[in-house]
Amino acid sequence: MNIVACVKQVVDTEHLVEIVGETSIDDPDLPRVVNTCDLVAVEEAIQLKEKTRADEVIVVSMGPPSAEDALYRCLAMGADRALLLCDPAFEGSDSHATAVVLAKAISSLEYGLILCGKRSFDSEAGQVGYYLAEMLEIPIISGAIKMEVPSDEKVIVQRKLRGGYREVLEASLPAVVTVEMGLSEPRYVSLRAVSGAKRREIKRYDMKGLKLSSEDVGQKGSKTTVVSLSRPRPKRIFVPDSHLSATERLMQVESGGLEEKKGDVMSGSPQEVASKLVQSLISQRILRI
Amino acid sequence: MDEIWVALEQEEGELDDVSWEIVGQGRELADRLSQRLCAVIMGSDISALGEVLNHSGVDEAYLLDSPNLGSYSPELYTQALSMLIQERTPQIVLLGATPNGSDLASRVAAKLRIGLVSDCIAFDLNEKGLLLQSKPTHKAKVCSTIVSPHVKPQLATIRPGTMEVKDFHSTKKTKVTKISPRLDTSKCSIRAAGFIKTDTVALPVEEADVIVAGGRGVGSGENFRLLEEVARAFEGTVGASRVAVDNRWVPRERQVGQSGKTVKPKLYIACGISGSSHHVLGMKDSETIVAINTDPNAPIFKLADVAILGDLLEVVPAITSEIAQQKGARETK
Repeated sequence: MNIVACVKQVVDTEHLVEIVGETSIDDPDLPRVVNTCDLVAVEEAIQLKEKTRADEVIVVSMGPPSAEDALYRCLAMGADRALLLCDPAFEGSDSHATAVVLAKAISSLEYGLILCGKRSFDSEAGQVGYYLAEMLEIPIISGAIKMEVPSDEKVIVQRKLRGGYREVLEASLPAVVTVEMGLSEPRYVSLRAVSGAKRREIKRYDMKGLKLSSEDVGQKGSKTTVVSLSRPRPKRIFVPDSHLSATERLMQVESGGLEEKKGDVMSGSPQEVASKLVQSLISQRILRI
Repeated sequence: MDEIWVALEQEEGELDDVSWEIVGQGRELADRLSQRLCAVIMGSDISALGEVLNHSGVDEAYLLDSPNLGSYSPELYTQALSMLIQERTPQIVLLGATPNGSDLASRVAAKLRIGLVSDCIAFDLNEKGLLLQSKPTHKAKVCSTIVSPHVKPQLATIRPGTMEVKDFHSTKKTKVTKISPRLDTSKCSIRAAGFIKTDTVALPVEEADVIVAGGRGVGSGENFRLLEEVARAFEGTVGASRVAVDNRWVPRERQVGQSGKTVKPKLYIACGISGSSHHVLGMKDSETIVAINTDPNAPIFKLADVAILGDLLEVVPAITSEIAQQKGARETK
């Protein structure tokens, strides 16, 4: 059984992000990295191969020519083959159009399991895996925090619910599983290993090579359009009131300018206080018994 | 008349907290577009839920009632909601971005080949009446506004806790329509194999709904056990101030504050934490704050919804046993 891992190259958002024009933050000078969640998918695929649960690990990426760096990194980690789906017509694709391209490329491969990161850290849609599964007509489980592949027939996944609960789901293979950060720690690869990987071949496909038309991809194949980008509301910086005395200003600064809540004061013996607190939390439905 | 839908989650006959945020947004959009607001609720034996929506601003409730919808099943819920959407063609469908709500929205989008904007924090309408959906992107450094221009419905999920719960003082009763969907159970390829309850005390602080945090006043690593016990009773986890971490009473990943993690739990209980601004910056947005401290002048009290002046080593175990007693009383009822 082969495992396909889908990866995306994203702008390194740890750096300051500049908005360029109406709808773009693309800046050729910004460093590009592999989406961290996708590296977890690659790591998991390689580990399954090491446990002899998989034959080949194939990494697939849709992106600009520079996305080959992302693929070289995955090859250095231990992937066997890499496919780059690259065409100017793919530009401006949303999750749907991206999935169209990926599905077309993946459908010509032999695979038992497709792994994707749960979401990319640029658009944060988390939707590609779902479209991909629908297009390939296979099941999908999203957000694996634990995963097991006991045989070539099925995958068992734990997915996070609220309040510390996990749901266990099983799907028949082939299937798509999207992975959560924390499923595994992507292995370190040295720069030397990455440049060594650059001697290996990346298979490239453009729109024609995938037998797609310009109606299917890019803006035209998309279901959503970004109309504007803005800065989120800036954090309010506290400025102390200059009318106050120095001591009061200092106290304001110390408290971070937070307003006093003037909450309830509970007093009494520990048992009395505890009982009052618990009753009040239950009546406010903060605590459910 | 065109319809705007809100798909609400229920568990054992109770609507999820995020429901009222979604209804608030839906009502406002419905008024601006002069459309009807309809709620879709799925489950088994849920006829009583129609009543809950009276006076909430919802015009009609579609109750998709089937024994197969008793608990969230990814494939059957997707089938049921997709069928209803295809039948009645709403203009907008809103869901909560909870684990199951997000999963369902994504599956419906894929099945119907429509767009989805997930985790929205604000809505508006453009000049054509299309929904402008705003969400944080690029690790929350940018806010993107997105439209789904071509296909209906426009599907979006709402990040819980980001929108106002509005009271519309509506006098209208909600019309209730019961629907028994015909579901094809033969095509399911995903099998639910149960739930695992992890020990909540082991949860990372960011993931917990309740955090019991300790500071200098706890006094020792040994005493942190008391905090763990009460945290377990609250189904929450343990956090700490920097002092407690520096003293190695608690591992560093539990530190809350400027040099630790920023948290926003439903309930934050600060035990023996004075409330320096470094700590406060990491927890001030918690929904409810309880502070236990022996010093009446501790700054944390200014921030607390409930201030308890007392020795945490006595109060904390008392809270643990009080919760145990309440749970016991409930079970014997």
